[in-house]
Amino acid sequence: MDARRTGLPPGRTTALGLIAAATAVAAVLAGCGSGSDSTGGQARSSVTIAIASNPALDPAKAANQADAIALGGLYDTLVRLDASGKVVAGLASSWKSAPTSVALQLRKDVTCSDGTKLTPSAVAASLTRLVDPATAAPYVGASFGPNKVTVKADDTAGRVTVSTSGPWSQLLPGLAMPWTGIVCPAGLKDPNALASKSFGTGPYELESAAPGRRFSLRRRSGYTWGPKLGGSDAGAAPTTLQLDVVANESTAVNMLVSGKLDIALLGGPDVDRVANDSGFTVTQKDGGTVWLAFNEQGTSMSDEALRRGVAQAIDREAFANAATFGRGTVIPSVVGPTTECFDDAAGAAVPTLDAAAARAALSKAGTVTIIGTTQLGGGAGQEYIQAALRDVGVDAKLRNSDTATWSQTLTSGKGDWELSVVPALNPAGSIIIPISQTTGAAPPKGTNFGGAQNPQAAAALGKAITQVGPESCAAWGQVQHALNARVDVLPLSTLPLSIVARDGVSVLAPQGGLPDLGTIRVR
Amino acid sequence: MSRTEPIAAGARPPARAGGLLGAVLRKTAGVACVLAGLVVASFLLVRLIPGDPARSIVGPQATAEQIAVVRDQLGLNGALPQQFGDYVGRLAQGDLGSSFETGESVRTIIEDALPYTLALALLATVLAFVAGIALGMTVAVLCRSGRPRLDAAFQALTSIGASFPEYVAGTLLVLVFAITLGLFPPGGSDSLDTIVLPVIAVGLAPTCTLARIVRRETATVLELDYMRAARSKRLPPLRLYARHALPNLMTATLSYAGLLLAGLLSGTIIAESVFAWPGLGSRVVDAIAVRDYPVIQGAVIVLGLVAVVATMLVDGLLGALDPRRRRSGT
Repeated sequence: MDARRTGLPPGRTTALGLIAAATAVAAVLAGCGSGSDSTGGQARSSVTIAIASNPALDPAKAANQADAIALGGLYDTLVRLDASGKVVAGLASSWKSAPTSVALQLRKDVTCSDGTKLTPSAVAASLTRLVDPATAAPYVGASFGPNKVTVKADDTAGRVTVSTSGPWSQLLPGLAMPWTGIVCPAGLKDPNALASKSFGTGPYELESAAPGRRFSLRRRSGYTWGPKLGGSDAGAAPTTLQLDVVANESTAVNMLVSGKLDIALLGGPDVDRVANDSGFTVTQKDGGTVWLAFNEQGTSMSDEALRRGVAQAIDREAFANAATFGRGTVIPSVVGPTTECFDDAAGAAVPTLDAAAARAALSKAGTVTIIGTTQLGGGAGQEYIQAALRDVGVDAKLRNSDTATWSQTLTSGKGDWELSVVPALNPAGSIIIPISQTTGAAPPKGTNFGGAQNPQAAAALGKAITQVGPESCAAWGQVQHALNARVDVLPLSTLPLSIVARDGVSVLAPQGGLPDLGTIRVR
Repeated sequence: MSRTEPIAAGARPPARAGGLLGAVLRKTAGVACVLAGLVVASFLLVRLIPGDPARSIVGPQATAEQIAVVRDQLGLNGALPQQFGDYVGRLAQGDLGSSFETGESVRTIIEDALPYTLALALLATVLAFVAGIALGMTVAVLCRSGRPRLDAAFQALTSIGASFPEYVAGTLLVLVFAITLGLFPPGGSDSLDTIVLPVIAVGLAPTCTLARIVRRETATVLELDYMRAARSKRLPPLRLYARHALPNLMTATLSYAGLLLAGLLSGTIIAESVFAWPGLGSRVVDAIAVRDYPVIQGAVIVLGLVAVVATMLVDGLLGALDPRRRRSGT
């Protein structure tokens, strides 16, 4: 075919020309990228971190991992937890703790991001706002329990005293939680501005916020009051942090390997792509626990024999493999292994795998409905439990849904489910969070999802929250043991998190398995 | 397109009086109906999704009292008709409300995110339009006198390409061009080159589909009498195909491109997720996950309106290009 007839010049040269041109354009466009600024091994003044969602910028609204990560860089708390769960100094240099109060001595050198000096009165005002019911801070109960809280300031002595109406042993560690981050007076004057600006004393201040895209933080000069959290402090703190919103973990790993990200927090199997790459350091952490809740509010699961039968039908190792892509480990308690007062011995009370016993116990169980969220391993763990129950003759039905739907079902107080897999993220590393979801009032009034009323656990809990020190931890252990012994819960697995950091960048994750922005260093 | 009445180059339709105002009125009424439907449907549909926004926002740890406070703050305690009345009242003043989750103005969210979605959808449409026409016409011309292997290869490749889901195309593109070759970034939006791979991922399937349409239409047009006549005049190839054949392909092509753009406005969601592209689609997905009603409603209305406007523009363009449409007033 000649060129005149086709209307095209000789084709091959044109095609080659187009390919060459496209390649040249591609190379030019690629050169426009900013990937070169994060070349591995070079010290840099900016570090880019992936967060899975837009973070809440008001500490009182903190509810998830992204919130805890961002707020940790912007707002200091009075005390902190180190990697072993021990309370260490934060804005407070020392403290005196009692069952119903804690008196904290503030450091004298702390300033807010607007340059004003942080006073005890300012701290008191911030905590008073936090506990105000109108603030509706969702996790405030994990810090102060069901008590009324009063906060008094002594500006002359540089002291703040937090008191609760009843004994609460977790009062001091409760002041290390991200929602207790101290908001400076300028932020309290204009609470609406908290959604878009920062008013903290943290190592960074918010430079710009582009929700859905990027949150830029700038290092504060003269920040010297950071906590001692252990680990290496080698290297320099970056002057800017870019928190890029990357919801898809595969995308986050793509961006890591191509130099667009320096740090990412991963919960899924994509971490395998960088696990053996010498250009990255992967640190495994526990972000929470997964357990099986039995609905004891008007369903067949109010029968302990049936609950025991269900527990005997489930191979927890197999569940951990299915739900966490083989990364999670079987746990002996609803409390995570890195949480203070975790009791390894509680595992002795967990029923062991026994299919024959399960078959016998569940012969008249009727239909059992399992609910769960697909956010946990795509729902594979729930599917395994359904299969395990069917294997022992149970008519098991499964309702996997998104987190919002599952959460509403779980907390509605309606008895339309028997079993629920509960993946309990614990970004604060607080023992109160898993325990408050397994004891106390049932939904809709409380957050004891299964509604179990366990007298032994309740008695031990009474001791645990009224005592401080080793006695308190012993009582917390009894709570964990009692819940297992009566099969009010079945501890299943840890919720593993992997922190991936590029070579030359380091970060600690002392609390809740989450990267602490203040500890990021570049070499 | 009629095979017996091609558009002659330079054809001029008879003037049509009185039809323009009627057409404008009809279109305006249509847009108003669509807008009303979008407002009602988006308001009701989001409330049919199981899940309490207040619970979603504050998490499972919140107590009933805290949930009640948040529901009150979000204005969810009133009866549904009252909520709808309040919503329409605010909407009439141009107020799309504020995000339940972040407190941001929905208008701001849309103003920030919509340009990213529009850029992605428009560029993907342009890619499909340009590459689809070029590919389809080229293959049709080359295969007019045989070349069955080329035609078979074209059919096979475009068939595969047209059936490629965005996430597969996106993943492969990232693997080859970002991870292996390092030519483009795998995600983000902080530089010009970040849009290249998302556009290709979104535009690949429509390009292949359009190429198949154009190839078929071109083959038909090339056999019409007026094209034979044009060829007999020994016109230069560029003039022959661009001036005489192309206008007769435009009706089918533009019709598809119009539908494509409207579809891509919401169809970019997957690509936005794969490439961490901060468009409206990913914001809507996030909003659905936490039942952020105002964001979902605002996005549905705005995307719907953009789709309607895009369709109207394409209709107008078709009318301008096709004399038969001008004559019929459609």
